[in-house]
Amino acid sequence: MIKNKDTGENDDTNLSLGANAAGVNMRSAPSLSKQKQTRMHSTYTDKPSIDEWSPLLKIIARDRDRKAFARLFDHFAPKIKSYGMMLKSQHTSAQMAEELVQDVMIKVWLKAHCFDSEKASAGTWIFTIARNCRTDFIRKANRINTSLTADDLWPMAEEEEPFTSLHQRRIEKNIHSAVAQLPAEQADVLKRIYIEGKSHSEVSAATGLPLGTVKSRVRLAVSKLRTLL
Amino acid sequence: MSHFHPDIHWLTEYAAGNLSMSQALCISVHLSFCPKCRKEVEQLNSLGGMMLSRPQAMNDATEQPQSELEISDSLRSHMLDLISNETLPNVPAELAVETSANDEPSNTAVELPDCLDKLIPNGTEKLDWKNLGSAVSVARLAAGDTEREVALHKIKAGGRVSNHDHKGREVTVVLTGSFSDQEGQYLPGDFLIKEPGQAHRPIASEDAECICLSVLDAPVKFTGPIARLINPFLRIRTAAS
Repeated sequence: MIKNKDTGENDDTNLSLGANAAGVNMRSAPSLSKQKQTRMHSTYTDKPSIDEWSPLLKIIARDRDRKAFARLFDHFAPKIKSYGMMLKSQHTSAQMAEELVQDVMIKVWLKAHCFDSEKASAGTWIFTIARNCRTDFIRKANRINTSLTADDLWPMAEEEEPFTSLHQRRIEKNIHSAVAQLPAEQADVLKRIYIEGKSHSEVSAATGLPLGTVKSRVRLAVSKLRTLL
Repeated sequence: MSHFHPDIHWLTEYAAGNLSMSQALCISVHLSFCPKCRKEVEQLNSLGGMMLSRPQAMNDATEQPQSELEISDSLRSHMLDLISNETLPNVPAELAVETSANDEPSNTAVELPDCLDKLIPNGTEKLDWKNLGSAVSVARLAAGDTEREVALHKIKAGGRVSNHDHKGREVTVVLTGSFSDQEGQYLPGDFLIKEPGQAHRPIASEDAECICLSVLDAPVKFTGPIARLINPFLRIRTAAS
C-alpha cells in the first residue's frame, strides 16, 4: 500500500503516483502490455513537470530564451561553483570552480534540446552534466593520460521502456518531498557529498565526524528515501 | 544476475562523482551487468538533482563561505554574451563523434561492457599479457590513475592462485568466467573488495578461464624498475598460509 503524499489518496498499485499523474487508472492493469505502457507514456508527456526548472529548460531549448537561461544560471551557478571548489591546481580553487561553472552552463545551453523531462528532472540532468564535466576537468587539469572520459563511466540512461521513465518520474517526485523531510544532520552530509563534491572521508575530515558516523548518516538518509519510493 | 554488489556508499560516491575514474570504472562495469544497482544509481542521481535544485538554505553549516560561492558579475555577463554568440554551434561537435564511435560493432570474441571499449579496443586477446606463474596472467590498462593499479587478471580454467594478501585495497569485478574463494563463487558482474589483511585463494571454475578487472590502491611505491621486472606481482604478497 502506497500513500500518495500529494493527494492523500491510497492506491493499491506501486504505480499510483505516476498513474494518477498521467490520469490513467492502473488499478485494473496489474500486468502491463507493451501497448498499454506506450499509451500511458504518451499521455504522461502532456502533463506539467514536477519541478520548476524543467519548464524553464524546455523554454531555453525551444526559444533560445536568454532570460530563462539567466534565471537558471542564477540558481545553479553558485551550486556548481561549490561543487567545483574541490578542484585543485596551480590556480585558486575559486578560479577553477568558475571555469567549471562556465563549462557546465554552456553545455546546458547547447544541449538543452537533449533534455528529456520524462527521464529526469532538470536538476538531475544538470547535476549529471556537472558531475561529468568535473571529472573531465580533473582529468585534463592533472594531465591524466587515458582515453577514458566521464561519458564512458556514466552512460546516459538509455532505457527506452516507457515504464522506466514513468517509474523515474515517480522517484523524482518522491525524492523531492523526501529530501525536505530528512533530519538536518543527514541533509547536511548529503549536501557535502553532492554539492560540495566531497567523498565520505573528506566529509569526515571537514566536519570532524568519524567516518562511521558519516557513513551511517548516508545509509540512514538513503534508506529513509527508499521507504518513501 | 550478479550476487555481489557495491554497497550504498560506493554507489553514492559513484553517483556524486567522488570516486577516482578507475574506481568509477569498476562500478560502471558492475552496472552493465546489474539492473538492480542501475536502478539505485538512478535514484542516487535524482537525489543529487534534488540537492542541486532546492533553494540554498540560509542556516547551512558549511566550510564554504557564501562570499566565495558568489558568482561575479563579470562571469555572469560573460556567460550571457557567450550564449548570444551566433557562432556557437547548436550541437557540440564532440557529441556527434561520440555517437558514431559507440556504434561500431565489436569483433571481439568476448562481449565486454561498453565502458571498457576505449581501454580494450581490440579485445582482451590483443592485450599485453604477462604471466604471473602458471595459472594467472595480468594485462595493465591505461586508466590514468596514478594512485592505483588498474589491470585485467586472467586465471586459466581450473587455475589456482596461491594464497595472497594485498598491500592496498583491491576492487575486483568479474568480466567473464567465474572464480571462487572461501567467501563464495563470483560470476560475471560480481563486485568484490579485499582489504589489506584479507588473504584469499582464488580458483577459476573448470569449464572456462576467468577474466576480472581489478583496481588496487597502491600506497606502497615500487622501489625501482628492477623490482618491478623481478616481480610484477610485487603489489601482492604471498600470505603465510
